Amino acid sequence: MNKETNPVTYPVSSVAEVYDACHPDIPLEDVNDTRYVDLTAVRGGESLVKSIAYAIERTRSPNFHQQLVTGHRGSGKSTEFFQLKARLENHDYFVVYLDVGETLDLGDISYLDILIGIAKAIVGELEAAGIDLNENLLTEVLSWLAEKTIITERNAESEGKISANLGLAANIPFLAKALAEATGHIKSGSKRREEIRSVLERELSLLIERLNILIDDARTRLQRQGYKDLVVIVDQLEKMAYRTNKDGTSNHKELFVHHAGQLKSLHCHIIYTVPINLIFSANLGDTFGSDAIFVIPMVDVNKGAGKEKFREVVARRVDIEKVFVESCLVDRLIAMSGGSLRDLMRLVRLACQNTDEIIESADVERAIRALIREYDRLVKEQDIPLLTRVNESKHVDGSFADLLGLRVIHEYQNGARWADLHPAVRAISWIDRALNPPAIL
Amino acid sequence: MNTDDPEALADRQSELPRLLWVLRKGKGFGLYFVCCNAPAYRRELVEKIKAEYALPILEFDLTGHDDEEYIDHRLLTWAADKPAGAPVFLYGLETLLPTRDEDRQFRTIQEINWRRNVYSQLGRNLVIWLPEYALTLLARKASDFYDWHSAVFEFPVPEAEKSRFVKQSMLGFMDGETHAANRMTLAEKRRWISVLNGLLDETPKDSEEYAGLLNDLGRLHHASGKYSEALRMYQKSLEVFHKLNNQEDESMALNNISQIYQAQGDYDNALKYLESSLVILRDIGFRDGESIALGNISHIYRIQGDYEKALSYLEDALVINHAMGNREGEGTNLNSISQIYSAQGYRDKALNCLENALTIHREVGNRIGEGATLNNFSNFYYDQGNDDKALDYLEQSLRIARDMGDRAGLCAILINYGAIHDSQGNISEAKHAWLEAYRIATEIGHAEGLKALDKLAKDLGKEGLAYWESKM
Repeated sequence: MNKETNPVTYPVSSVAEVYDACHPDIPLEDVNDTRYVDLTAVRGGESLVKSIAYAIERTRSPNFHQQLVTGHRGSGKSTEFFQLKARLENHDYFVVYLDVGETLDLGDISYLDILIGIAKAIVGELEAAGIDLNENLLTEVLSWLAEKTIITERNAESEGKISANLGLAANIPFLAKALAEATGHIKSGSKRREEIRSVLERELSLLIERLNILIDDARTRLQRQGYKDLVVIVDQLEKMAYRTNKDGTSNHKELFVHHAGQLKSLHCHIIYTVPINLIFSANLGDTFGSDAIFVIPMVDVNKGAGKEKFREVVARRVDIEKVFVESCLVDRLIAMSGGSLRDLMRLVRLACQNTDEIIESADVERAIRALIREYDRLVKEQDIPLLTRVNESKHVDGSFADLLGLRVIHEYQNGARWADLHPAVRAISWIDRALNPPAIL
Repeated sequence: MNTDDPEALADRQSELPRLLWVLRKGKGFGLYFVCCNAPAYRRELVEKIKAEYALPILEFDLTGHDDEEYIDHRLLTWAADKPAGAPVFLYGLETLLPTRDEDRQFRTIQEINWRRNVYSQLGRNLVIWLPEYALTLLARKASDFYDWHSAVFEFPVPEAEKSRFVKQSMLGFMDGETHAANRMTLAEKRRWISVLNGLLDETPKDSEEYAGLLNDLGRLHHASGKYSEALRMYQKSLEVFHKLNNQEDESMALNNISQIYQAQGDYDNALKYLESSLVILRDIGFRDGESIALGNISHIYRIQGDYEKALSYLEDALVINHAMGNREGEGTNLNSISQIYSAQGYRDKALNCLENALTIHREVGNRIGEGATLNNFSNFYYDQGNDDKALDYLEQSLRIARDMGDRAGLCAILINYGAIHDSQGNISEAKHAWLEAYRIATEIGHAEGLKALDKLAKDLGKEGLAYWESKM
């Protein structure tokens, strides 16, 4: 994202600007962004920002709060995290936000990659904030890590070179470089990844101990600067690839259930995003605690309050009166979004395409038809029994994981958790016929 | 889209203006999919878009993409010095998403899904052109990536021009005297599998064209050792040809099916299909087809050691091919006859047939046939104790089989390759080749190859196929 561009004033008032004003894939990073609308009230009342912030504030050292967060794609997770980050920073926490999609290989990720990735992010953020870590500790952790990951790579012939490097190494950038080197192999998917992993796995407790030495030092130094503590947000982890292991379990379960102990072992408050299917398939409650998973539900836009909030989301970005020929057209788009922010944004954008003056009814209807065709691609004949089930029971279980992943079915929460077909799916003519067979005369 | 529906018609007419609109108005990175099944129509559309858009459009084709490198990385490097803001049209992603090659499919899809952040570094509009089947696959399997798009544009081939565009899209496939499956490299086959799969969606089911496409797809899969996929295609095409009462093509489908059973070692079933094919062929007097069936029947008798019968079928086939001026058929027959003469000890006759076969294969461009004959030359010299010459021919044959992705051929050649090295006392090189042959034979289910490997292991004093398995 180019931050140099001229600031746009929201709401925009011409159709030409609407397209960029409603980009669905740019989370709102600035906490004061006027486009942000707090949807807590229409998401079942529980605020991600408040509930996680409270939990962190209530948890005192030597305990740390560990939190899992999930939700549909485009439900506004990342935007909420930026809000949370700002709120914690206001309360004097040092927050490290880590987008693992940018630093790690989500195609093949292990808990080791995540642990090292977190350490790297902490060191990098502290450096950026001008806070020095203890040099001796750094050297110790660095040499240990270098020994485990770098020397094994270069063999005996260049050992001299490594020790020479170590002499120069007692500063943060070098450690960051060593960590980068380890994660570099991890990101590049080289054969070295397996080697590094197996070396580190054998000495797992030592690795964690050393990373914690580093984190403890970081916390001490942060506290000296007036910070209450350190919080790490690990975002985008929910996009990790899904794979079935040889023993029949999934790699998702392996990471978040079998290796929960390691993910929880770092000495800091930590928030991980997890794939939405895990809320059914794994005993996360046993490992992370019963309240440890926060689900961001979709907004129920059939209810007046939800509809109003979604209208506000649009109104913060575009001047509805000036852009739409009639303001009720927005309601059509809201109803078809199924409470998904991403689909709402996408629909507004679809309605602009090929329009330069003002969005008319025909544009809105065309946008809706386009969205319906897109969802038509996602549904198969074989899905009908499950769709029928959710249509009648408004309830989902583990067998719906795929359809939830495709957002053919949305999860909502007001009072209780419930689920329903995406309205665009309901509007596909062959699905409609299957769900509502004509009465036999 | 329902063509009778006025709204659908209007939507279709607005696709092109909408696409132009987003190219002009969308700033920074934007992901768009364009659904178009016929490459010829796509080319025409792209020309039209370029003319109307008037600013530079960058085009990037992934066809023949090297598996080792990330798609996004190649794209970013390539686009780095291109005019800022120019959109990228990306083609050929479907060649990395073959429908049944699940391993390749999984890798590509995962790669796209988890590296989606990298694509945004392009900082320009990325327009990915895909046939319908591939877009559907991507939407369902790489949902994080798919869900990221700002619009999908659909360009079904206009009804009135369908046959023209389908035909144009097939140019290059039908060229030459021999079927594409016999002359194309693996990469070309992969590309054509995607093209034909796309065209299937533009062709009415239960039409000659549809069944023809299925048969062609079957041939391409067959030639790359994908037997179960090939069988599925052949059976579907058989059904349609039968329904249409097209006996000529029906009998050819029966023939093709027989060749799958034969490769899998199910000789009874293979013979059954061949005989029912022969009945139809003689009934309708389709001589070219008859010669093919005769050649195939002969092959089964040869495998079973009945050389007399095998030879008599081949001679009948050769007479027909000669009379019809079918050079490709003649070449194939001569190659097969050489193998019978060899087995019977008629060396001069065998060599003569091989030489003629090779000339003809090269003349008609039958690369698979050429590779097979070169392999047989190698066997010939090996039997004479001329290892150098044998190895030379075998290496030529090996190169062709690798280029063509002819896995069945490769399996046989590697077994022979191992045998030569073994006889020269180079046992580790031999085992290496046999192990690769075993891997291919188990992957594709190649009965003759497995039988030979079982014997080789026993000759080494081991317990047969289990030995190779333990070495994997």
